[in-house]
Amino acid sequence: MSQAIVITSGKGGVGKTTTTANLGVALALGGARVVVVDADIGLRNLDVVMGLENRIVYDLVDVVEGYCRLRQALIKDKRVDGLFLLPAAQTKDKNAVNPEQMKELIEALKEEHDFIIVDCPAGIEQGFRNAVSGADRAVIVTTPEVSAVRDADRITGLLEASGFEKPELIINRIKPRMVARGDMMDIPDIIDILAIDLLGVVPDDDYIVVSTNRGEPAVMADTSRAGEAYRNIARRIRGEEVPFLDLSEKETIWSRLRRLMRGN
Amino acid sequence: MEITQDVVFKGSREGLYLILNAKQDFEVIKEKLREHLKKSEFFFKGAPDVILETGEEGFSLDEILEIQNILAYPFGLKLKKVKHREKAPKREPQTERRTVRSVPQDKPRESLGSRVTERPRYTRDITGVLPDTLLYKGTVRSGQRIAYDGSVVIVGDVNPGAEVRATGDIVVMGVLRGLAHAGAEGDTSASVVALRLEPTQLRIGDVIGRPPEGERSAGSEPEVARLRDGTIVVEPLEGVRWEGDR
Repeated sequence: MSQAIVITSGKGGVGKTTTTANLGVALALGGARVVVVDADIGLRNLDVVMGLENRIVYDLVDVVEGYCRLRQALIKDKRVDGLFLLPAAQTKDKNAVNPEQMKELIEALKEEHDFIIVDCPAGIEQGFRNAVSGADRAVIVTTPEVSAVRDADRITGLLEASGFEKPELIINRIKPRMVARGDMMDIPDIIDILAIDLLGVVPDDDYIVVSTNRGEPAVMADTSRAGEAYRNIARRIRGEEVPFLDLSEKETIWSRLRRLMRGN
Repeated sequence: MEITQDVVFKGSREGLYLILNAKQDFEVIKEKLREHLKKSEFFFKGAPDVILETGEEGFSLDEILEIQNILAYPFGLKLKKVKHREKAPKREPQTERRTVRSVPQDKPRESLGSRVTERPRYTRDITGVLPDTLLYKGTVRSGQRIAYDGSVVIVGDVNPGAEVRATGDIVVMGVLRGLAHAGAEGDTSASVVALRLEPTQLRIGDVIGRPPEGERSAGSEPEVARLRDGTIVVEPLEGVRWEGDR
């Protein structure tokens, strides 16, 4: 039974695209057939994060407008089998597609793939409405900041109003040390406000910047903490029970040494 | 020479020329015009007033009003005047000279006054009236698309996510980091020249090429990309021999 999952947030810059790319890779590494769809028409990024930018010939708008077949526009990932990207158009805008067309497109993708992960643009306008139409499941990404949580709350309301019964939450970029000091919103605080199920917590990880710039999603690196978190989230999406990562950073002699050498 | 296309847009100093083939069925023309405008909506946004050129046949007043309506809604273009073209004088293709003119953007630009001689690759009826080369000054940024029926010269950079499409050649007097498509209607002799050629993707005719993975092009010298035996080959511009060179 294939399912379409929209990754959304309301606020920009909280990690929707990173989350989409990493979950797509993690699910495909687990053996599923996955398509990641960039619904951010006019501001496409997913192709860059996945390192597939130079392979784009056709895009989502071309498919919708009938300039090419769906299969022609799907770009096969260069590292992971069973993973495909449907890129957004860069020279069009959100109005190039309507929700009905998106729905049809997602239905068509479901025929041959297990997971369709849609990267939603920031905002609550047409682009958001396009991205959520056709999705069976919604995942909201937020960071532990009041502004991001506020927008996540707004999005939760909109999603519930448009028929998503149980949106799920990913809290991104948690800094355990700051939380421990009481300088950052804690996970229970966020859950308390949003009152939705927690799908996962992703620690802040410098490696994400490196991986984004290289076009190699972090889940592919065994050493990345964020990558590990995304692998766990992918398993939860597939229905497994996976305990949450222990984010409290234990001060071993080695981590202390590393920290001192990094100078923080 | 026959005009092969029914709907052609050309930038010129006076404004945007719209050349319609009046011999074609009017319904077909309307449909093609809508399609053309829709495809390049962004290019036409903020474009200057349109001058309609009708060839020797011409349109009826009702037909012109209909064209005016299509341009105005939903594309926001204003029809400024209608030109009825006389039969073009015969010219010798070998000695043909083509003027390069800049595209009118927000403000009218001075004509360069420079002349470029080019070997005749294709001759069209309209070449005597309209410039074959579009000169664009400025950075072409992500999401911007320049499409032109003819050759394109960009004085500036073409950034990743930007697209330049020309039925002829493309010359970038700057860094080409985005996508360039030369010979977009199948001209396999078209080339792409850039002071620094670091494209996301190159297309010539219907061949698509991308730079090898992982390799950052180290070259800082001008390069040219052309088709050789069906693949896109990039070589330093210096010392390159062009077809017809003796």
